[in-house]
Amino acid sequence: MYSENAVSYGTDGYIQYVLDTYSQTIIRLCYTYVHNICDAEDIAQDVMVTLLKRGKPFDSPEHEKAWLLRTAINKSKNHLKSGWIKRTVPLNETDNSEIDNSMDEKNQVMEAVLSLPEKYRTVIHLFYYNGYSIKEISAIVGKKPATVGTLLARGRGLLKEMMIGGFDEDEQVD
Amino acid sequence: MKMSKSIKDYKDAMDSIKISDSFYKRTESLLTELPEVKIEKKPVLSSRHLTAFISAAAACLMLVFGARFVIDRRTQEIETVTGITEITIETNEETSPPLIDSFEEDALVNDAGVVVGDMPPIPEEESVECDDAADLDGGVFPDSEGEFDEEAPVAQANPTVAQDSGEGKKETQPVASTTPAVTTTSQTGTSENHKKENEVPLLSDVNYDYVTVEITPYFNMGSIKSGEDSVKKKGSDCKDIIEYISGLAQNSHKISNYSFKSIFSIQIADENIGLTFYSIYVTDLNAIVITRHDDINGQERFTFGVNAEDYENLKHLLFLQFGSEEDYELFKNLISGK
Repeated sequence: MYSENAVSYGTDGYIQYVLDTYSQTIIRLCYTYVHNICDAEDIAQDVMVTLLKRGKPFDSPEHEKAWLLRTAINKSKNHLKSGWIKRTVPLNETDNSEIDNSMDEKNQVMEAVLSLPEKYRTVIHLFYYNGYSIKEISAIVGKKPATVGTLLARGRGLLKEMMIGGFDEDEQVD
Repeated sequence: MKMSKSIKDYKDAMDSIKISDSFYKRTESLLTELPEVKIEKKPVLSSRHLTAFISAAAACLMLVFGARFVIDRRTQEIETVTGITEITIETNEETSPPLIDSFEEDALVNDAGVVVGDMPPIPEEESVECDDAADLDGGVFPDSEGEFDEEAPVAQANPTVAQDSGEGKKETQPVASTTPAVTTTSQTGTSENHKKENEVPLLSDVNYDYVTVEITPYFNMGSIKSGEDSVKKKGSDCKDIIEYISGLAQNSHKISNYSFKSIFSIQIADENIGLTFYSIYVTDLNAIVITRHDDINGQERFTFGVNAEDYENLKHLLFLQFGSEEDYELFKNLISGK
């Protein structure tokens, strides 16, 4: 175990701890891939099951977080590659019920981000929404910090082109 | 699709995505219903360590078995060699007269009588041997003792001979000093070879009161038949000879890889059970071989190069167990091949 105060791996308390700490992050990260909240929830659930089946505790909280998000990314990609997805049309394209239509402008920003290529989209999401550092993101996506920085800059550049007035970074979390 | 928006809008939009209320319940129940998670304990040794450990253990085992095999094999070889040697000696004793005058090694004796030089690497088991050469005895040495007496000059005056009329054999009481006269060459080699700590000097442990000494000649001369006319005496009667040889062993240096022929053999055995303690071979080429039969160490063989003077004295002492003083010169000639 990585910490004396941490909940023991595999216990009921640990399940609760993981759900409380990571479920929202995982679901939203999966959403950036699958663009469907139900699918994102299913993938997040699958990630949790995989976590418990892993059978061995993590060395540190950073390791735990990186593993969970990396697994979520991989499972999302696998989901998109599955034959079922390729043959079906997502409901949200016909019915965006999970998105508050009153936030059209904000949704448009989100749509702009989600329309970015995957390599930019993931780092933008992890950097601006989750507030992870470049080092943390590099551990999650399995790329060098410098590469992550480059992807982040290019992703921002793409967003600026897409949005009038550019992409304001005042709110970014370090 | 160009809009002026900030990162906060993105966060708000992302936060606005509603996660179903049932997700937590569904997931929690799913996870708790999973079979009990078996937590893998971190292995103390990694697979690499394990492999290395197993390899090392296997190597050690192979080394141990290899060493054991080699030791066993060597032990077997030693035992086999010892057995062959004994058989050879016994065969020689039983068979016909040995050839004394044919030397397998030429000019191996230096001025001091110590064997030196480039001797061929002949196994030690071959070192004691007596060849059959029946043609030697009859022609050179007539059977008649009388003729010997007439022809044989008195070689040395030192040993006194007492005739044993009953058996026709002669008992000798050598006057010669039992302390071997050794050269400086011998002494130099001696101090290095024989002053090992805790080593019982050869023949020093003979209890003369409880042993018999059997001296066997390996030459044909007159009535003396090679390997047949042995003399068996009490240990106390041969004390002088044994002590003399013991002194030689302590003051001469060891040699090895030496091929020679026996002239006399001396067996020192327990008088009751016949267990042999020592086998001594007095050979041509100024060498003596002493084999110690030990229950603990098995057989140990020592070969010593003896200086010429000591060698002559020893031969003289031994010959007088079989022949008279007058015959000794003939014996010398026979041995030297003259």
